[in-house]
Amino acid sequence: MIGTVEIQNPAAEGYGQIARQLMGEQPTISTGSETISRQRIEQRGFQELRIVVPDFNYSLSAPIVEISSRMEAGEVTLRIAIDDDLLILVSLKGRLSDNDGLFHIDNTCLRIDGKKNSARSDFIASTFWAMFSLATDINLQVPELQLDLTLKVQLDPSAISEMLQRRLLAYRIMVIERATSRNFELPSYVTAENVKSTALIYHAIVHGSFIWPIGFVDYGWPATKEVLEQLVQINELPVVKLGPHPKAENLFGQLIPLGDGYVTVFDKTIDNFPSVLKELELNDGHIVHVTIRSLTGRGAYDLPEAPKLPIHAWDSNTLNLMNLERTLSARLVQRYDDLAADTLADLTEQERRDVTERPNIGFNGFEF
Amino acid sequence: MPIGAVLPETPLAIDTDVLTDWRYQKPYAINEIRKYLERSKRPPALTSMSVFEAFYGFENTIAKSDLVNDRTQQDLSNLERLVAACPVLPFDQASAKIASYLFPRLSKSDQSKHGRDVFIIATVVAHGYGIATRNKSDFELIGGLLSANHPMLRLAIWKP
Repeated sequence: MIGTVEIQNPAAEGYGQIARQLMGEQPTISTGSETISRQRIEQRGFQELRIVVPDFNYSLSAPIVEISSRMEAGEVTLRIAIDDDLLILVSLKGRLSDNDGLFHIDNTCLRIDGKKNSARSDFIASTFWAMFSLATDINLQVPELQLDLTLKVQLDPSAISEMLQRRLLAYRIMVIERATSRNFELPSYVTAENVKSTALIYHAIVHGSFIWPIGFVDYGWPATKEVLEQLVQINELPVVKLGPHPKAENLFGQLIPLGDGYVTVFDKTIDNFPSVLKELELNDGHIVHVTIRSLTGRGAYDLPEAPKLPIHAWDSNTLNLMNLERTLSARLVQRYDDLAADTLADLTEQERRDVTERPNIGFNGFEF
Repeated sequence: MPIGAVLPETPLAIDTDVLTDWRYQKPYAINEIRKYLERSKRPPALTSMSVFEAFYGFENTIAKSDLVNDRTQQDLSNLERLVAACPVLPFDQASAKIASYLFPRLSKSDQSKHGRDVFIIATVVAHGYGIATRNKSDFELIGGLLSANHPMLRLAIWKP
C-alpha cells in the first residue's frame, strides 16, 4: 500500500544525556618508591613511555612529546601522545634530595587531555580510564630514566560505569562515522535524543534488523477499495510489517539516510478501526489517517539498505582497545557483585534475615 | 493499559526483592544483572522506595538493639557504598502524580497490600525506566491501571 508514514518512537525513553568533559587529574596510589636522576632528566635522550597493564595483557609504547622538570618546586611532568589528538599527562610530585641528588617521587597524578571533540578521542580516553581503574595496577616505564612506576588508579564504580557508557557511545559514533564516511564534532553534552539516534543508526549498520521501542505508526492512506481490503486483513493479525519506506535519522544535526526499510509493530491495534473503515469505504482517494499502535511498545526495524562497515575498519591500536571490551565488562560486573555481596558478608544467617526484613507499611492512613 | 516489554536498550531499575537476592548472591540475580551490565555498561537503578527498604532492615535492627556490633555497622557502610554506586530514581513530583493516579484505583485490600509497589512503579514510569522484579502478578495488576496517557510500564520478570 502506498501512503505517507510517520513512526512514533517513545521520545528518547530512558536515555540520559551524556557529559563529555574529560576527567580531571586523578591521583594514583604508588605501590613502590621510585626516584629519577636529575642528570638523566636533563640529558633528554629518552623518547618513549611504555604503559603496561598486566591484568588486561595490554601494553603501548607512546612518544614523550614534552618534559617539564621543576624538581626544586617538587614536580616533573611528562606529556605522552597516546593518539594524534590525545595526551596523557603524568605529574610526578616529590622532592629533590640534597643527599643523593635524586628526585624522590611521593605521588603521581594522571590526566588525559584531548585536542579534538571527536568520538575517537572519547573512545580512547574512556577506555584508558576504565582500564586503569579496573586493573589491579599499571606500570609506567621509561627505560632511559630507569623509571618503572607501579600505580593504582582508584575510581568509584559509578565513575567507571560512566566511563564505559561514554566508551560505548563513542564506539557507536565511530562505527557510524566509518560506515557513512562522515565525521562529527561532538558537543559538550550529548543529548538523550542524540544518544538514542546513535543507538538506532548503530543497530541499523551492524545488525540491519533489530527490536526497537515503537509506540505507534501513523499512516496516511488513500481511501480506495484495495486499501480497505488490506487493512481488514491487517486488523486480523497480531503483528504487522509495513514498508518499504525511506528511513533516515538525524544525528548531531546531520541527516543519516538508512535506505528503504520496514517497520514491524508487535501486539498491534488500530485506533478507531470502525471509523477508519467508514472513511475508506468512501473510496474517493482522499487521505485517511490510520494509527497502528503497539500495545506493548515493541517493534522492529528491518533496514537492509543501511550503510555497512568496511571489512578492515580499524587500525591495530584501535582494535587492541576495542578487544578489551569483554575484560572491561567482566571486571565492572565483578566490582558491582562484590559491592552487593559485601552488604551481607559479615553477618550470620539470622542477622542477614533481620537486616533484609522489609518494613510493614500500612496504608490505612490514606482512608478518610 | 497493557504492560510493555523490556527491550535491549531499556534502562532498568530493580525491585527490592531482586536487590535483596543480589545481595544474597542468588545465581539468577547475579546472572541477569551481569547481562544487563554487559549490555548497558551501567548498574541497575534503585528506586528511592527500595533504598528506604534496604536501609530500613539495618536501622530496624539497630533501633531494637542496645549495642550494634561492628559487623552490622560494617555491612551498613557497605550498603551505603552500593547505593552510592547505583543510580537512585527519586520519588519526585512526576512520580507522585502517577502514584496518586494509581493508588485510588486499587481496591482497599490491594491498597494495603501493594502500597510500596505503587511507589516503585510510579517512580520507574516517571523516569522512563523499566523494572525487573520477581513479582509478576502484583506489578501487572498495578501497571495495568496506567492510562494511555502515561508512559508504558516496561516489565522484566527475573525468576530464580
